[in-house]
This record gives sequence, structure tokens and C-alpha cells, in this order.
Amino acid sequence: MDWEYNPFAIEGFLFCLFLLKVSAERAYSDLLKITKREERCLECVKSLFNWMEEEDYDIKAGDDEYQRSKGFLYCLYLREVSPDYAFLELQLAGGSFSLKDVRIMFKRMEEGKYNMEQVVVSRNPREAFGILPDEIKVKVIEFLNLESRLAFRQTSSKNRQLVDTGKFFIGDAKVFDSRWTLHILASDYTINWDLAFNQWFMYKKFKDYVILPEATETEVHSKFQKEISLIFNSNKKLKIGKLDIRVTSPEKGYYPERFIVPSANRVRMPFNFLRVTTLNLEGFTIQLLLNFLKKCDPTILKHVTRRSNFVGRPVMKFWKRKNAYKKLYGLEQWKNLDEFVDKDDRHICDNLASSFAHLAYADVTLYSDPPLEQILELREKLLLKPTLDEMTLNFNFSVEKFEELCEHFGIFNIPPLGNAEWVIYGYPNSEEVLSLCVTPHKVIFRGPYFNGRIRSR
Amino acid sequence: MSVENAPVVDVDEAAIPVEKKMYYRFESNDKKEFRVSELAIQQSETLNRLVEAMGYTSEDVENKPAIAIENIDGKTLKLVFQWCEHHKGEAIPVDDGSVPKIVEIPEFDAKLMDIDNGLLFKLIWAADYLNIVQLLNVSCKKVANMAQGKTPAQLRRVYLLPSDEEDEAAKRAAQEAQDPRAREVEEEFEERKRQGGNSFF
Repeated sequence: MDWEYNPFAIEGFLFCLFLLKVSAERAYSDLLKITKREERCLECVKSLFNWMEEEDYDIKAGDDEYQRSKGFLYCLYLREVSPDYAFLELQLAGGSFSLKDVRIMFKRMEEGKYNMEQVVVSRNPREAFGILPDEIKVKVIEFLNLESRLAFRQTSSKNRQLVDTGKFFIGDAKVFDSRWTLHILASDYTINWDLAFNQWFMYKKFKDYVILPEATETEVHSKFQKEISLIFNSNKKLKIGKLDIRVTSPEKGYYPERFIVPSANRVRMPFNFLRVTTLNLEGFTIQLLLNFLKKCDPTILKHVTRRSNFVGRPVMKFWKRKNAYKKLYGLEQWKNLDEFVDKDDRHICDNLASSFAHLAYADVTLYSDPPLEQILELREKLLLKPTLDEMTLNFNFSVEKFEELCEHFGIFNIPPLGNAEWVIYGYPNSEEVLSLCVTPHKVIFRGPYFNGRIRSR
Repeated sequence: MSVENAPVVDVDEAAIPVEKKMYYRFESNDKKEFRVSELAIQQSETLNRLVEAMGYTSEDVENKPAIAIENIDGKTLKLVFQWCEHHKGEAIPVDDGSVPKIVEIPEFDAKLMDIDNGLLFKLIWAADYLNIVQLLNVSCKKVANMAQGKTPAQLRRVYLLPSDEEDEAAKRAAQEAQDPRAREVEEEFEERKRQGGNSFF
């Protein structure tokens, strides 16, 4: 028989020391004296103390209050306080043990029956995790957080298969690459690489910094790429709620996207197949956006926001951009989108109605003034779409064009001169209305779902 | 509620309750007997169906032999029935397949599962076998919590997970044990050894 320390009990123990205003260094050394082995590194204790201070730590959070309270009491027991005093301290810290519970715990501690141990670990294979059939192991795996899943899949190929075939959901994920700072966040898991003093550092949440001596930029980027692949690609059933990707070029000639975005001739790249609902992309040219969207499941992707930070990038030729936009509007992923926001790049679009009418919310800038017929055609199509929220098409109208539109719609809007005038159209067989506004720089359509009837803005 | 003495279901030689409720008798594979209320049994889909199919009356429950549960030992079954008694009458959660599953471990369950991991794995196995959805959820969550912050090496130690090599060796051994030719060769070798031959050939 062997035993492991319970991580929540350790957390409760450290929380007690935190409330007693003990420094992180002292808490680290106190813990080390008890456990006789390093259960938490100094950096972890420091991070935890910072977290406790900033996040208003709650002993009841999650479902491990029981273990945290036991660790908390153990800390007080070692400080030789009475059970009654410990009960009061625990109450003040938010714990819900009764006085009777605290007395029993103290008795157990006196008898040497409690030492923040996790569980007694049996060495008998007949009493191990292996006795469980695979379908129950999968159930257990469903409860693992991302960090534990990544650790679990490294234990054996069979377990890797179990982890990779079970369902998993990441609510919020971020990937950031600016050459010397690489960052991945997925739910509660974070990993960073930073270049400082000509050395690469790697660190994870609540873990110590690791210096990567003699690691080259290529090696670190390759690790970054592998980690992305591991988190986002290894499980085909993975669903992601929101994914933010930000790539920036700190200097000319550096293309961070090559580590992230699949190119046409390199299929096995990170983000090979994504089941994501909301995408926020920054620093993506149209070609990158196109390549990236191709890797997303069209039945799941609903919202895309793109910001194009093109500093240091070569400008694409007009015909190439035009071709790329044409391909974008033809993508299955594009046709199934509900929302698209893209203010920084100018779309080259031949037909407004066929490109944008399916969207419930859009805010895009167009390369050139469209003919009046196209705006009218778009209006007719939108009148067949009663789920419209708002569609803003940004142009830079010529004076003639603006006058032509004003004359046609019978309104004249110059924003500083007062409230904008709107033209109202009724939806067929419905009391709902579509509103249209034309200003020198944009055309705005507002449908029945404007202003938070579907979504709150 | 005390930490050590979590509520105990009327087990073993407990007296028959005075109330007019029906208490079924069950027997573990190590011949330990338990009395469990009708309402508590409803937490287990398997047992609930079983007793419904048997259609026992109050007299049958007393006169007929206890219902045997062959695959579960007394120690595990006691925990299972303690859990069922505590949660009797509660709605059984329906698994809608959503991930991540949101399951909170109540204080009673946390205390009940404050056991060694061998027994915990048996409890999970029993919850699955008896189809007790919520007990399976909380016990799986408990096992998952044990993995928090662990490295692969620590996970191997906590869960006693075999490595690929150990898995492979076990597989090979099982194959060899099943292969009649390998067994024949082995028997022949043993026979020659007994007869004093130095070499197999």
C-alpha cells in the first residue's frame, strides 16, 4: 500500500496559511516539512497565493470543499489550536463543517489517521483502474480537465485512444503568436513560451518556469505547433465554443501564420479539423482566412470576426485577392455562417445579394461602390429573411453615387446634421419590418431581430 | 453529520423497521445480507426492474431467500445501499450526452467515497452494473479529481496504469497461454526436465 496527497487538501492547507498571512516562501517550506517531498513548487505556491488574493478564493468552489476543509483544519491542527478555535476559523473562511465534524477530524489527526492523503493506493492490479471496462473509463475521462487529459493520454497507447475518442468541449481557447511570445490557452490550461535574455522560457499555469537551454526559435515554434496539434487536433469529437487566434508580425519578413494556418500544399498542420462555433481571427489575410475556414466544420461554425493587422506583410495583388474572395463566398462554411464582422479589409464582391444575404449579422467594408441594382436585389433577398439582425455595408461613396441613392430612396442623411432617416419596408405576410438607411459611407439594413431579440449586444 | 459515521443503511442484522414500508433483502457474493427500502431501490434501474419482475409481497420478502447479487462483495454493496438510502426519492438524472457534464459531489457522497481507490473502483463498477446513474457520475468525478495536477508518471502510480511494454507483455503471455502448440512445447520441455534431460533438443 502507498498513498498520494490530495491536491485539494494541499490547496486547503495553503489557503489556511494564506489567511494567516504567512509568506509564500514560508508556506512552501512548511508544506515541504509535512509532505517530505515537493508536492507544490515555490512558483506554484506563489501563483496560488496571487490567485487567492486576486480572485477572492472560495473554499466552497467546485465540489471539493470537503477535502479543502480537511487540509485547512490540518494546518490549524499543526499549529496546535483547539478544535473550537479551528471551527471558528473555518467558518470565517467560508467552510461548512460542523463543530462536531471538526472535533472528529482533530481526533483523527491526533491518532495519526489523517495526513492530507488522497487515497490509499492499492498495489493490487485487481483493485486498479484497469478493472473498469472501457466504457466506464471513458466516463471518467469525460470528467478530466484538459491538463489531466493530456497527461492521461501519455500513460499508454490504449489510454491515448480512449482520450482521443471520447467527447470533449473547450469553451474558450486562445492562440497567440508574435514570434517571441507564444501562448496557448484552452479552458483552464495555459502554456507560454517567451524569449527573454536570449533564452527561451516555457511555463504553464501554477507551474515553475522551465528554461530551455540552447533551444532555437525553430525548435520552440515546432513545440508550439505540436502543442496546438495535440490540444486541438488529437480528438475528432472535440468541440470548441470560441477560438481566438492572434498572429502578429513584429518585423518584416516574419510570417507567424505558417506555424498555425494550414497551407494548400501542407495538409498535416495544426488546426487540421475544427469543430468551432465562434472564431475571432486577427492578422489573417484573405488567403489565410480562406485556408482556415476550409478546415472548420461547416455545420458548426456560426460566427466569424476578423481583424487584419497587415503590418509587415506584402500586399497581395488585386486579382489574387479578388479570386480569394470569390472562393470565400463559394465555401460551404461561408454559406452556413450567421455572423461575419470584418472591418479592416475591403471585400471585393461581384454580387452583394448572393454573397451576404444569408447572414443574420454582418459588418463589412467593400472595395468599390456597388450599382444601385445590387443594393435593391440585396434588399429583396433580405425581405425573404425574417431572421435578420443588422447588416452594415461600409463603402466610400462618390458624391454622384450618394446622390443617386438618396434620390432613389427619397432620403438624405448626413450624420452631423441630425437623426438619420430610415426607409421602412414590410415583410411579406408579416407585421415585421426591414429598415434601410443610407449615409455617405454606409448602407445599413435592420431586420426584425435587431437589438437583441436573438442576441443581446 | 459526523465525518466518520456517515449515515448507515440498516444492514446485516438490523431490526425490521416498524413502518409499513417494504424492505427487500439482498445478499452479496460473500454472503452478507442487506435490507433495502423499496424507495431506495428505485435509484438502481437494474434492481428496480428485478424486484418488479419478481413481484414479491411483504411475506415473500421475509420468507423467500435473499436476492443474490453475485458480482459484488459485501463491502462494496454496503456503500451502494448507503448511497441509495440517502438519495432515495431523488430524481434520476437523464444523460443527454452533453459535454462537459456538470456534476457536483455532495458532502454526504464525498464522505462516503473517502475510501481507498481499490474500493472506489469497485464502487464504480457496481454503480455501472446496477445502473445507478448518479452514483456512477459522482464516483467517476471523484476518480477524475484524483488525476488533477498529476504528471503521467504520477497517474500511473495512482491508477496503477500499465505502460505500453507491460500491456504488450501481458498480451503476449495471454496469447501464449491460449496457444495449444506453445503449451505442448512447454509441457514437453517440463517432462524432459523431469526425466533428467539437459537439453530440449
